[in-house]
Amino acid sequence: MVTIKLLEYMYLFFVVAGAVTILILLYLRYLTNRAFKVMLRMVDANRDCNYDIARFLPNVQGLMKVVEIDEVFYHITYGESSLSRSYTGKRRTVVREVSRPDYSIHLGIIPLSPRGYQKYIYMIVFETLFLLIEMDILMRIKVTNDAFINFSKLQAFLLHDVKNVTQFIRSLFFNVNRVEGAEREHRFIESLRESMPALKVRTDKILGTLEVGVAKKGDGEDRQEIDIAGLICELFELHGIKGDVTGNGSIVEEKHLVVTVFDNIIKNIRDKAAGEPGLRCFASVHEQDEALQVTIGDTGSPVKEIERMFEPFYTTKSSGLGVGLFQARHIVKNLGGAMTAANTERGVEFNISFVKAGRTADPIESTAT
Amino acid sequence: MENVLIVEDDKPLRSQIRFALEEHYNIVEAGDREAALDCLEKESIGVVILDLGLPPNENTPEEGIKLLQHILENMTAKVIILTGQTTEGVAMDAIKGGAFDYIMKPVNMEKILFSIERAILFRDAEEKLEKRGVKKISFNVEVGQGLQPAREEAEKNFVLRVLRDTNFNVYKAAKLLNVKRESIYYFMKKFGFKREEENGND
Repeated sequence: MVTIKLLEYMYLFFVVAGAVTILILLYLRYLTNRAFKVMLRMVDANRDCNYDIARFLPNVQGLMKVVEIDEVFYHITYGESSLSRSYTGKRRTVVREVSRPDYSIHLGIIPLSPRGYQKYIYMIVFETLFLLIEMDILMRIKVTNDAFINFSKLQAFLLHDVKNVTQFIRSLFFNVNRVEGAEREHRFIESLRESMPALKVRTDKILGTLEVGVAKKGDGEDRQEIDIAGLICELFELHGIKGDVTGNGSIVEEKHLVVTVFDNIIKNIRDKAAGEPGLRCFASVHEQDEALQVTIGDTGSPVKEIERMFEPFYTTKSSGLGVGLFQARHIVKNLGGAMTAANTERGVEFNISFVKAGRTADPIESTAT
Repeated sequence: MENVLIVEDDKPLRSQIRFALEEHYNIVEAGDREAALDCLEKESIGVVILDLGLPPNENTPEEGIKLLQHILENMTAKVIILTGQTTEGVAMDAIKGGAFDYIMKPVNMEKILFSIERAILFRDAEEKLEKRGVKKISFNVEVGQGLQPAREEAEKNFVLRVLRDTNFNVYKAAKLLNVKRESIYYFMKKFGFKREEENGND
């Protein structure tokens, strides 16, 4: 009889204990779910604020209340920016700090329930918030630094030519005023005649670089018929490259743009030839329906990650800028053509197709192969 | 007439500078480092006008700095830097390396002519002093680090200069410096000096 009674109590105890356990588990699950939801909403809010912590942090306060964090305070500095929300009360706070050369974060919270499982939950939320802030700052610093580096690369790319052209004009001015005698005059004119092709390429490159990213409504006035095979031969000679050019064909375009395209490709080959003696160049030009197909390449070693060659500011050279080929493809695309590069049995080949009639309204998309 | 070497990769600019200078000097031209080294080997050059941005790296001063170091280590020619590379670090490297002048493009030709005249004047004066047995040795030290680094730097430059002048003949160098041959071997080991051909210097 006693045994039966005991079993009944035990049964009741287990039922009650089971019910309480289930309730506790459900409550913990509710707390956990709530915390995960808050974390997801923080990530969304950060994205909606375009990863700008100045806009993101004011939105955080409301979310924190959900996980029983009464207040968030911070002092954040990065670059020339500083964000601050202070707390001077005497309530219990939880603080996390980091200080690096480029930035510092001092982040704190005032929790409502400082004990138990809730503490575990708000600490996870707090840590997530801290990581989001640090990530945003690092991203901003990286983007800013990259922008400055790329800007200075572009500037260096332009300045070298601009300064040389300005120096040329100053020297020319000096000489013009001092040319005396028929023999000197003759020599002066000859030197100018010899200089003109190189000077033209240089000024064309400056104009081509300045026009990158500038939408231009061409009125067609500057367009002229360009013999592509002849132009490649001229550039080979100018850069001291030995190469064979076969076929012929012409397009009607603004010459400085086309010169910039081929000058950048040929300079790329010339730089490669400096480290690979015996490297030879080749080019072929032929017309195909309404397009002009140009292949220009070298017999040198294959290029690793060839698909990245056209990426702006990507370079494999220690002192390269990564501007030239990006600029070349940009121009070709704007002219309605396509430019690709490939490692072949012969070596590295650039394939460029131009629309013979000139640029179209809707440029053809191209990808490196 | 004094031989002046113009090292400039921009052909039109080079021809204009040549035209401006050729009435006063005998001009030699080079478009890159290799061509410049060739000229320096064949001709006795008094002054070099050097552009730092040379092929294949026109946008950086690497090639120019290498050439500058070679000239200053192996020749008596004065080097005038004429460049568009305007970063402070580049100018510091060039001046620290021993360039006679650092001129930034664009500049009036009169300034270049003036700088060449001064370079020749200095070179002539140094040559006269050298005939009297006085050699100019320059070195860079950081003030505040005491006398020891300065002493070592002076010693290093002096020994290296004598070794180069004697074509790394240890016997002759020891005689000129009035020290034992063992001391010369000690200095060579201490400062890592090697004969030019062993060093692979171009």
